[in-house]
Amino acid sequence: MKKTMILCTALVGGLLLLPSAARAQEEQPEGGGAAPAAPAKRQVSRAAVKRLFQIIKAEPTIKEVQKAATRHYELEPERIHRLARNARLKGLIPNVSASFSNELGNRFTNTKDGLFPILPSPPENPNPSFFKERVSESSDQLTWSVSASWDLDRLVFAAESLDAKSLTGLEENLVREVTTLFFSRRRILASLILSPPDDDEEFFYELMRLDEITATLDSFTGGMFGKKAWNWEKDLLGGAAK
Amino acid sequence: MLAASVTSGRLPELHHGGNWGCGARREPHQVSGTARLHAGTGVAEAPRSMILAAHAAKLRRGVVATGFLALAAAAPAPARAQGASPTITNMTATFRGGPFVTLSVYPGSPDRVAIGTADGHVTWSEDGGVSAVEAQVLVPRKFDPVTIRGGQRAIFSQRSADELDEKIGVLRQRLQFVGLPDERALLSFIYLLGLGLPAGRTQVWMQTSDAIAETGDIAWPKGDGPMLMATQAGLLVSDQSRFSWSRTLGGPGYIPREGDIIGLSAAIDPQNPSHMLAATDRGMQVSDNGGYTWAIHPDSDFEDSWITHIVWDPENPQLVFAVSSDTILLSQDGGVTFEPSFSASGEIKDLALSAEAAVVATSEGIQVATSEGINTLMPEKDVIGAIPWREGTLLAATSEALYLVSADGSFREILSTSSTDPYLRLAGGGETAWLLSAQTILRIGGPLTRGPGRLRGAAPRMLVSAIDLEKAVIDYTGLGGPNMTRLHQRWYDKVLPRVTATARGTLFSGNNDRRDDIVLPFQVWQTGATAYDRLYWEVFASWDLRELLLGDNNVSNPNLIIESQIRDKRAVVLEQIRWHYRECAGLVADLARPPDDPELELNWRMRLEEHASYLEWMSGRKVVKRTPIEKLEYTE
Repeated sequence: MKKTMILCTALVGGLLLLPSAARAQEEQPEGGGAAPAAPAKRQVSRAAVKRLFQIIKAEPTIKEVQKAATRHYELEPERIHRLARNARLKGLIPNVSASFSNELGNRFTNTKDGLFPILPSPPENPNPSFFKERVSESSDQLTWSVSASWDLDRLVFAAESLDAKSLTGLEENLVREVTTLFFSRRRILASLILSPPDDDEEFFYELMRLDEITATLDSFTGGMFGKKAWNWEKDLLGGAAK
Repeated sequence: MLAASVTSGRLPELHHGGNWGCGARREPHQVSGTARLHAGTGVAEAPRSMILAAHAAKLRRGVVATGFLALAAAAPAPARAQGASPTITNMTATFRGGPFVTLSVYPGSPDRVAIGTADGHVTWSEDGGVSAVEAQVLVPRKFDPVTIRGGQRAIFSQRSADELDEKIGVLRQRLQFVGLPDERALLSFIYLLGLGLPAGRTQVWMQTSDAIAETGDIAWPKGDGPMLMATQAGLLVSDQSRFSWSRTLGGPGYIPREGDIIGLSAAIDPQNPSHMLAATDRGMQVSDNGGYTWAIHPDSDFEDSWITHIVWDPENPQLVFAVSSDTILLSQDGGVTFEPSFSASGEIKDLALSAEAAVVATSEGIQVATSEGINTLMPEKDVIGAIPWREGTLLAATSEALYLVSADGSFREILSTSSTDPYLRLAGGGETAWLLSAQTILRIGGPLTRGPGRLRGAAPRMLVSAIDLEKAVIDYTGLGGPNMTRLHQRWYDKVLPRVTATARGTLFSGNNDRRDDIVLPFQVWQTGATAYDRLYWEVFASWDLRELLLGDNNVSNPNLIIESQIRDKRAVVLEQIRWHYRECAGLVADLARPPDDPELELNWRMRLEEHASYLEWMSGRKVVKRTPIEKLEYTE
């Protein structure tokens, strides 16, 4: 907390070059007196505005953040378009099936016939069993088949493309969330730089709020935002050291 | 507010509609109306007296203040011509975007304004809307489109399949009668929904309902310090920074369930911020330790009443007004005891106090109570809010329009809104007031100092019309029109056949060895060899005549869910686009003559950047020509 107070003091009094005299100390109302008046408007200094713009310039733009977030969640519009387009193009690409088969066959047929005369058999008789007929057959059949089918109606309408496009809903949610967060953070940043709270504790809370949104955006963008976001700790510690 | 006394001139005319439950006198021209009497007031026959006037004036000031209405009525003839229209500035850009649900202005300090959004955020400004801070109070659950498979099998284990089949048979006949598809999955889906049974296969996380993040009321402390919020999820108290909120009264889970306490309105004692009052659907709750613990208010009047507003007089903290739809209860001891003090024939919508008058907005006009009596104005209007304004006039709002009301009851419309963006609340008074609609926050008050602007940059300009933008978004996102659905009949696509081409080949080789032993020792032998190949091909087309003639009737559960999500999303996105475009256009117009305050101008430019960047992402094209913020130059 002590460190925080130092940081707050440094930011309020030093880095932002805001004249301390300009800071009207408002008395906190107590008891049942008159209703609190609105805080006196502080004059915004040119240096503070310049500093704010410098910080903004160094940070990622909203477009970069939107791109990073959609890329991180794999919800880029190009990807969704591609999915939807591919769903329709499936009508042009056939469903191909191929088959290959080989059939080997052997057949032996030995035929005896009752009318066939059985005669004395010489030793070298090649037909000792007295078959009337002996047939030996062999075959080898190779078959192949290729088939392709096209669902041409998909070229006109493919329900799958609708399902792909429903991802746009997720993308829109994400972009809306990221955009809102980005500018919420930027408003806090502007408020911190242009009109920092006089109260140290309040200043600390605002810095915490800034960090909270920075971390959320960093998570949304897969670590892209945090690397380039304003590092107030480094900035302010450096300023305090000076 | 005017404080001058008027001793002459006619008193404001009194009309039907209001009945102050206790009081003193009856004006000679009063008309007995549809008065309702509260027990314990000690008044027998509803005189249209003015308890609230007594409370609002005598109790607060200790003197009899002369009503501003009387002053206005006493003015010469031009009084009817009404005062100049106030300057109305759209301050939406300063705050987090809507839809907004509630507005709270600290009584007597109209620069302190807090707004509650439908998505559980509170955003507040203490400098009249130049800058604002926001915090997320309630986190709504967000569901992404999911495909849930039909879960009939799960149901079969709970109910007999025969019974289901029987019911489906009945449904099928009915649907056939009205010409709807009778596909079994659809019938099961409808039947199970009707029974309240789960129609899809769900996980536990799907069975929890969505958190309702709506805010009912926001209570300001007098100075810095914790705020109090009454929400549908209960009562929440912030820490000192107001960024962190804790629920201190409500259901056990963060998702409200049936029977959990619902917060309706809240107020913080201006004298002692630890002392709080909060109205719930179970009656009034009191806390004496900054909202950490709550006890039921002992007053039995609160048992059955829904208090929609609690007004704690900042100048006299002993006075607390609790507003319900039919009664205003008044406490003169800092909220310890309450007594009914006003009822109206119409529904009471809001209460505003000033030094001279109490103004009650009702569904049957405005009841203005001064020390002179009670006056009913605009009885034909359903007023959502009315506040005392400058020079004896009133500002009154219905859900459709804002009116400037003269003391004599004449009024003129000074602003109107569309039915899609109704006015929700009017609060403030004196020199500055705030008007909230679902999407807009308007400040009514003095003119905003404008000039060439301190931040040097080109004046922004819209590059696309709203219609073109919508078309661009639909094209770019591929959301398509209403016909982009699988349920839309496209018979012609089924004319295109399913084409199948097949090629088949055969390669054959064979040997045949044949021996015939005819007469020993002679033999006849024969050897044969065969080889051939075949090539076969075919192309055939098939048409599914069922699909061609009767269409695709496969409305299965997943398809139903996907279809409903696609349609809902399309509507949501287009609503967003319209709103962002409207905000962009408004800011572009405002920034043509930027405010003199550079911080406000910067806020507006940032908000423009926010809206424009969203639109540009969704449409894939440049929507607003503008100077990037970091390239602006500040001139003293």
